[in-house]
Amino acid sequence: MSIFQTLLHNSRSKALTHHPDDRVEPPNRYRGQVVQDASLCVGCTTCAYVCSPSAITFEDQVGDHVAWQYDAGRCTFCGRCVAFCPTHALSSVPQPTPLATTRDEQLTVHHIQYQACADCGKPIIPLPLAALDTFSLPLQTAIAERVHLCEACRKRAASETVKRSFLGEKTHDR
Amino acid sequence: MKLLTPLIARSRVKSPWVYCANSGSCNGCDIEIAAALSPRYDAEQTGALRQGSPKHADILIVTGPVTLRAGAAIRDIYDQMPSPKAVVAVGSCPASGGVFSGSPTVEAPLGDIIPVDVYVPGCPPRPQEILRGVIQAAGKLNDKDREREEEQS
Amino acid sequence: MSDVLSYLVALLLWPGLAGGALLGWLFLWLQRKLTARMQRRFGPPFYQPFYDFFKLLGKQTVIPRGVNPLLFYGLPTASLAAMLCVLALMPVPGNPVHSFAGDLIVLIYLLEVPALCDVLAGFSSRSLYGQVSAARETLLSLGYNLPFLAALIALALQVGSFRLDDLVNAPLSLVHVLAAAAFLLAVPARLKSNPFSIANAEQEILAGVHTEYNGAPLALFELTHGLELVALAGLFTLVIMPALSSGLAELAIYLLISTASVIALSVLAAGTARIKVQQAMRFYWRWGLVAALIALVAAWL
Repeated sequence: MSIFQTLLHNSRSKALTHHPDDRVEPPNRYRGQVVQDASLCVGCTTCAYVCSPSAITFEDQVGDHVAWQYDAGRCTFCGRCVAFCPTHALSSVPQPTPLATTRDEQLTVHHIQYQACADCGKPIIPLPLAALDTFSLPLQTAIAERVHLCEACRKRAASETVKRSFLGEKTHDR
Repeated sequence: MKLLTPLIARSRVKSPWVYCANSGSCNGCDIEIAAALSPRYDAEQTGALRQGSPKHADILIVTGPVTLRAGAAIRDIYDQMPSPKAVVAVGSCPASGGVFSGSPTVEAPLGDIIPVDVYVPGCPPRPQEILRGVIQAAGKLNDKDREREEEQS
Repeated sequence: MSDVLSYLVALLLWPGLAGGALLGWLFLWLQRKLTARMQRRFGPPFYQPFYDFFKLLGKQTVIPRGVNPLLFYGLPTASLAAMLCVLALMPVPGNPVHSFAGDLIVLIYLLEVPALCDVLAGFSSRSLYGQVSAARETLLSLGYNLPFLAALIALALQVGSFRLDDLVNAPLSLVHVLAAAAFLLAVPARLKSNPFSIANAEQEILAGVHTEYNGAPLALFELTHGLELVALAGLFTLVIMPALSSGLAELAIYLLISTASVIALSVLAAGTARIKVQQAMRFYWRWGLVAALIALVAAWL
């Protein structure tokens, strides 16, 4: 008969229900909508590499542009892209992703401009400095200077350093 | 019958009976649907009732990546529902296949099999989002009925 | 008022279609709302059963292949018509129809029609769930009708008449209390509510006999259920209610006791779980038989 006592207690106390418009706030660490700050992205493709359902892809690489595509209808909200993003361009907002009526609404496309090489101006993917910071591996100043160079310019700079160490300062005047 | 039309139009929005179909889901979304029906989120306050028979339902809630065997069943369930009807795809799996996309035994996306009206993103979505998806789908029932009548005439 | 007109008013206005449907929707809402409150939920809004009915009216009706359309539309219509006749016969305050000799017997027969239509609907709809449910309903009706019929027969025996008016105007006695007890035993099973929701066991055998029904026929079945609720709560009230001279007080008491019995029914439904058909039959053929015999013997003496 204690079930009837429970029923009596329940009908006396306030309802636990939330109205659909009275949103229950998710916890702070809730991994909700994934947002990207396109200005911070360098196009390193780390997020696409760690994404298990391949919700993030890099498409249409033309010249110095690449399209960063994120499909909220494919994402598992595991948060690995956010954790591994070297430039902290990705973050997850503790709010659920809005409802969509078509698949196109779930797609986010950002056009990312590659950074230019400091020397020759070719598009480059720079070393993820922030990632190295998280592993507390300070770069030698010589290498840190060349972070913003393209591969060819980096090679040339390195070979010049080698030459300089063998032949002294004046060698390149020859 | 003409006199009843506005009344029926209002009733449709206020009384969305749902039928939940699991098309090979991991059960995560189904648990959240159960939570949406629970006292805390109480789907019944919006008039939504879970029905055992697709013939009574207005809204079909689909979870899961639509496996090969489930695909035929989902198509069958959708055809059994009397018009007007709407479909809510809950979670990432029916929208695209999610982590299962590209598998040879998965027929996702659901949109290729039956017309989907509302996608509720999340893996799994929060119960209130599912409830809002159902309400949004119920709001579309009248438009769908009008479309059907235009098609017939 | 001529006889035809008074029957028309009784069938269509009060206590028939209009009044009965409004009261039925109120009771259905009360049941759902109370159940929700006892589970600490908000529950459906006030107009919910009304919206449900009109939504179902506006839906497309799909007749399953191999089912006679006449049967598909006819059975819900027949059960609704029978329930309207029951309400028209009930001597509720304000009913323009006069009681006639033997109307209790007509009432008992008519009350059985919705159950019969349900069984036929279940068997004819070619659905496995419908057939299981119809079989259960058939079996269960052998159980719940024992105390139900015994209660009404005991009352008729006590008064010495099969006229409903005589039954209602009879002074309250011990037989009334015993008959009311037997009557109450039968009510949950008649309305297919917990713990005797065996025939329509929702989620277990889908929607029972109504599994294949949709659209307008389903709406008629739902309305019939609401009217059945009104009729049974009303019958219980009329049989045990003290006869009052003033019409308004009578109406108030009628509504009060009907509502109270609906509340008791929903508390019982919320607090119990579904039992098996064997357990239900054992219950009715043990305690139902005891209650029936006591009421009959008390009426005989």
